[in-house]
Amino acid sequence: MKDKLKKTLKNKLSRDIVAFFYQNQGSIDSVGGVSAWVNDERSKVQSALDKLVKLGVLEKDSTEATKGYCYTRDKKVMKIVKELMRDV
Amino acid sequence: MERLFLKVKSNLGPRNGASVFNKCLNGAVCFVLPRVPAKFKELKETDLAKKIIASGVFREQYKKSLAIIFSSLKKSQKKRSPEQFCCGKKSQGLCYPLILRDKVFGFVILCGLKKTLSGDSQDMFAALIDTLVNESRREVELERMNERVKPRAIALSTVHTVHRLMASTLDISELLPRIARLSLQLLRANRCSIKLVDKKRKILLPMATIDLRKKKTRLKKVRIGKYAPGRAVKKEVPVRGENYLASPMIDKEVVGVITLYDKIDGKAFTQFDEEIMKTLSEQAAIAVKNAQLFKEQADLTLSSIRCIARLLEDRPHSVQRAEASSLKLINIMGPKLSMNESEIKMLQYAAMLHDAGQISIPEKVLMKKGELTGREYNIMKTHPLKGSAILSKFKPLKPIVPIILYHHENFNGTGYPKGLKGRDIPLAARVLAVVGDFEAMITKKPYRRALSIENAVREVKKNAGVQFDPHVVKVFCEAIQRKDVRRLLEKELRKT
Repeated sequence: MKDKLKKTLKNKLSRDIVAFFYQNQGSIDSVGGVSAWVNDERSKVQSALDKLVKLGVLEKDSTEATKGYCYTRDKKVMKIVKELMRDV
Repeated sequence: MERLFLKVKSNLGPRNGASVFNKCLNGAVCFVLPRVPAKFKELKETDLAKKIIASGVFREQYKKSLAIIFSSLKKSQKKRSPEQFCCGKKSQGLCYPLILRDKVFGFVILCGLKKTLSGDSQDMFAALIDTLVNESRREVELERMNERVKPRAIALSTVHTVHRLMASTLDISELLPRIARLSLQLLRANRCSIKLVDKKRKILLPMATIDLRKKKTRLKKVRIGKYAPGRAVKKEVPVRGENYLASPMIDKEVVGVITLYDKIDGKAFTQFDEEIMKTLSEQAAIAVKNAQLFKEQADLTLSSIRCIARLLEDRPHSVQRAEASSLKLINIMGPKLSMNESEIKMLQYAAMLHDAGQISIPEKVLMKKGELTGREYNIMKTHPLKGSAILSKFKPLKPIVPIILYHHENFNGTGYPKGLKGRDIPLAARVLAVVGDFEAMITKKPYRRALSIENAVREVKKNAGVQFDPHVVKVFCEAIQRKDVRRLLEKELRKT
């Protein structure tokens, strides 16, 4: 998990997204919202978000109309992200 | 002021202003200092002194030169104006005070000038520094505004997303766990429980809970007024302790309460958490009320349908139907035919009422034991049209009108009332044609005996592509093989 995440965080967009949720851990936002915070294209943000959901860094709450992304509540993953964000 | 000084310092850094001065002023070196130290000894120990020495502008005479700069800085501070200094031949300099709203917040020290700056050069230097200070001030203001606005904008965006997520379902069994999940996420807590008010019994009923801890807590009913959730409901205000926060869901009246326990970081719940939960609870209350109203409406519609179906069943010609099995078959087949929840529900309603139009058919035609005459058959063929006309008056049942109207259309176009063909027939009507006919075949009628399940299935298969959609028949055949369907069918057929 740590190695995969480390590899993912080499990508600037993924790093920006993780940094945003790491700094705003209570935030729940849509693809549009996150793309505004990280200042990047919606489609790119969407695929980066889905990748981070697969890795377990983010969680997704979706309905037919809306998708909400938020930071993980898994303590192990949170610890790994904390370490990696310190190194970044 | 300190922040402004640091901004000016950064803008004057090697990549910005300093290199400009260096090029324009023939090798001059620029330094910045936030304030003049009280004693010369202190200046010698500052980073500035080390930098001046390292820059090599004063060669060996650096101690004497530093003393001259110190004296010049003091004069500049006192007069609040630029002060030129001379540390030797071809080693001139200038101390320039950084002033904002009559306050000196630092100094720019220009060293290593080959000669004294002319009036024009001094003016140009002053203009450059003023521009730099103004730009830095604007940058600091923008940064401060961003720091103030961004967290609020993020919170607002979160509230908006939460609202959209909550408003997108009217199914209370889906809504309450979602509210619990969102609350848990927003406040980074370990446990969330949602209780709804039972007014008659004056208690709170546990409806949803999410517990991230290893040791789970049992769901308990709580009396209004007791414990944190009960007190929050009674007083209609949030109740907060170190490791719990109960926020009542109020929309004109109290609907229920959201209670959060134990923050992930182990810290206590704060006033800010309370404010956030208050906003979320208000939204949740509206969503819960809407879902409750929707359920009441759906129950009312279902009761009306059951009532009409019962009236039809009670007619003298009517027979006991295998309704439960038909509804189950639709429930199994629907998702496999990519139908959504609402479409499946409407199809089930249609299955209960598909022969409602027979109410307008004379009993002698319905009860006739022999073969129908051409005229009688034509009368019989009007029942989908009549049924759809009756049901179109009942607004919640509008979506089932086309299903009722076209459920006697044949896949090859030989059906009635319109003679529609293939995919022109709505999918739900194609499904009802199979399920409805199968149900009719296995039930006893006044004019014929009931077929066995196997024979009825064989008959359905035989008519695939002719009367029925072959794909729907395939899905039907898979569903009918299920043990639970078989058990239900056999149970219902024993009653008929």
